[in-house]
Amino acid sequence: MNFASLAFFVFLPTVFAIYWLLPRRAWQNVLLLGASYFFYGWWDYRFCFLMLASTLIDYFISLGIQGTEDPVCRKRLLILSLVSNLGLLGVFKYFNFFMENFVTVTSSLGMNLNTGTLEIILPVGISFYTFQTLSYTIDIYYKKMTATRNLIEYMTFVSFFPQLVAGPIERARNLLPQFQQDRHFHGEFIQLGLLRILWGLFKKVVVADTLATFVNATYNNPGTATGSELAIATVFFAFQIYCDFSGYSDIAIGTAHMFGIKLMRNFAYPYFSQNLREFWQRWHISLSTWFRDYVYIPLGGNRVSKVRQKWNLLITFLVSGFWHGAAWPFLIWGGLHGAVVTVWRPSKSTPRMRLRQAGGDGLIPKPMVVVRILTTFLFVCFCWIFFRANTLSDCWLIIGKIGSEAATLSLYQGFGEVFRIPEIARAGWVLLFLVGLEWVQRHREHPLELTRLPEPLQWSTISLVAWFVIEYGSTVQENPFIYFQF
Amino acid sequence: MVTPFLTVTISREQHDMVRIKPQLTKTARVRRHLLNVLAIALTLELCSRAFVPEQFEMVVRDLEVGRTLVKNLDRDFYNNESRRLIRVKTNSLGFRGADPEVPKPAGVRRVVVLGDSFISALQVEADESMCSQLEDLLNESSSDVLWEVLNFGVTGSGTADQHVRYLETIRKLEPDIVLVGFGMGTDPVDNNPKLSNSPLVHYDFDETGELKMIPDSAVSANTANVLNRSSRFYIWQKGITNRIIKSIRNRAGWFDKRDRIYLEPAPEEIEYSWRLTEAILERFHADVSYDGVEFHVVTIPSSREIYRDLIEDLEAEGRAAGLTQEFNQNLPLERITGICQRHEIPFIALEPGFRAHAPELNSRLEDQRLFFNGHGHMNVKGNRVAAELIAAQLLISDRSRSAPPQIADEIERLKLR
Repeated sequence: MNFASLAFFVFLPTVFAIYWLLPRRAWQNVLLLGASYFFYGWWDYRFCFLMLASTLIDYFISLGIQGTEDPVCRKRLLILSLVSNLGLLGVFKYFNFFMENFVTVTSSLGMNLNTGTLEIILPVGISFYTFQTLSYTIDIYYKKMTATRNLIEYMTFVSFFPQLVAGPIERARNLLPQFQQDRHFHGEFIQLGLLRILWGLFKKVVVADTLATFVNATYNNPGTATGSELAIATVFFAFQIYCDFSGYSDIAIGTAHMFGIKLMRNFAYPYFSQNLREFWQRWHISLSTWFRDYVYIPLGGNRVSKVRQKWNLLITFLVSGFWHGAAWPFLIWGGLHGAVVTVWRPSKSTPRMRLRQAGGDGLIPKPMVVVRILTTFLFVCFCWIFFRANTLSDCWLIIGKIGSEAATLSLYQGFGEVFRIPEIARAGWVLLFLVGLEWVQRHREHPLELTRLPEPLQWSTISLVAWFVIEYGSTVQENPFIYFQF
Repeated sequence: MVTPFLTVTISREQHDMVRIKPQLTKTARVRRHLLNVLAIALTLELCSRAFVPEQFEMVVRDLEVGRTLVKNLDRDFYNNESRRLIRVKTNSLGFRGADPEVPKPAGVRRVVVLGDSFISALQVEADESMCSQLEDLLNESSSDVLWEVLNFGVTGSGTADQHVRYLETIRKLEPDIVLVGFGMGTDPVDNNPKLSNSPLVHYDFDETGELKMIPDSAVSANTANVLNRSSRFYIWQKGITNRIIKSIRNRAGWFDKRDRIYLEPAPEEIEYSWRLTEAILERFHADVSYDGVEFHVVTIPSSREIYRDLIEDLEAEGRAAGLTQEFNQNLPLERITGICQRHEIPFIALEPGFRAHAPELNSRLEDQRLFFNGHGHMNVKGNRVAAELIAAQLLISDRSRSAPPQIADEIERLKLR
């Protein structure tokens, strides 16, 4: 079930109403569990069995790990969990990739293998819930938390519908305890939840879906597009994927809020980052921290030599690229990010994210801050080419076209012509509004947190956003969320 | 501190999520809410004015004659169906065209055409509309009489408000012929106050089985007119609401009640609609005839009565919605023919002529299209065909009284087209 669909707008109020009428936590959990499986089964009921299998494996393995102090036995159980979870992921997500490459390699050696083809459907969100269950078992193994014996609570934690198919990838330490506590209704849950949902819908329906039309048309026919069109389409895609994915996260967080559940923040104004490290601290935070905690740190983290550190960092980024998709362009995308983060060390003067808000203090940024933000953004855009292009050869074609036009300055003249197209101009204005509002509100978790403004002004801004969502939502073609494919 | 009704313990996570608001006096709260509502209304109105290209509600609800177009209008409108700018000029009565002369000049044979959006034909220029083309054709065929065809079509109109319009307005214009353009796809349902969505003047049966008038609600009509004139947000939200309802209906697979007119046997509410239609037409005919004016019912076909693929699509939708009855494309025509024959009302059926102009009966073939996009209002060709068919019938009717030989030839020529 898509968040930006009619079915969801019937589903959510129904579940919400029943949920808060239920007097006991256990019943609320059962309802959330049923609703989550219904939500997931809306795509294909067979997916539910896969999720159930993954859930049950980790539930029993984690109890087994907790039940023994024998390190060998604990390790074996952990390996069993890793093998079964990554095995499921491997079969459903990576099997065809490996088979295709195996056949390519063998045929280049003169062996023609007839492997046949397996039509494997990629279950929606498998990468997300697999990582969530994995983190639970690993945390139990490292004794960072105790395993729950309540199967319903555990199943609800894995399948919780707001974040099931595209994150945020929650840690059991944050989410599971919330299903173990009593939750009571408060009016502000609705108000704050709805505001977050509204902002998520704005990003998805108004920005991402509007930009998608031009991006898809250009990237699906790179041979006929000019360098200017490809460059604009690349920048548009940067915002499309940001708004699509962070929009989903906002709707997920807002929806969970309505049920009295707090999910972790997944995006923190990543395009205002002043370097690539900061970008990765602000982009898809739940995945970045997952890789940090469960890949980079187990590989040795910062406790090893500098060379090994850099190697570990590169490995982590390559794995992250591979997580996104079983294709070479994703690996190149991850590798490029990894290479730059590994090689480049931020200077001491560069603000650190934890200390400062995105883009520094004040409404007007300093010139050097603007330069750093733009440089980082342009590099991120360059990498997005590999993420979005349909094939690797398309990537080289696009880079070649943009590069050759940039060298002759015709690229910049072409921008004016492209923006004369009314749809592109409209998309440009929408982007300007988004960036402007995000910049002004970047010290907040999301831009519709307007508590310091006078109330009429708050309502004006909210109505403006709602108007756009309704207007665009009823005219722009509905597109599925990009991250559903991962 | 948390608001008083929250007396139970809440978790730390929940507590983080709850913000505290200061307590206000009742007056301050009311003032605050009023200000907020004002801010919302202003923003929505500004958005609708700034970001939506052109919005203008052309239909005005009139408590006496049901509905009219905005009076004395003269401006261009972009039409979504024909995808072009259309010049719309209306007269002081609120209908398309110039003001009719009263009293009627000597030598003029005046035809009044009543109907809905198919007659007002705002998708095409005035000279491309059926009424205008009908006037030209009639004048081409007669040298001794000056024909004048007045367009009294208005979007969403039904037979009941057309009858009232005749009594209140048209009668004073001294027409010679009244043509009631009966919209086959919509009028049977629009004539039934229990099924109609349109705010109209309606008729219904009273306890004794006699027709009684149900006027439009004055409050609702006046409010709607004021809002239409002053608020673009009001017009915008109507469009959005319709789009959302249509989308819900499509996705949910609900079957439109208007389309039940093709079901055989007809559902009870459709049967009732036809009974009402019959009674209204009978009275309409009687009133017009009483004035010594010629009266014709003209069946204005919907695309579903012409193209086989459209009725098949509808049947598939009906099956998906669980309907088991037969779908009969000719049923509305059979019903109206029966009504007219029973009450000896002259009628002109356009369906056979339309089908002759679209022999493949396939709306997807562009050269066979008499309706915009194959399923909308009549396009220029459709208006032309309708005008030719009506002109031929009117001239035959005229000849039956006193037809000079050259008109008879012209009738044959028109028939051949």
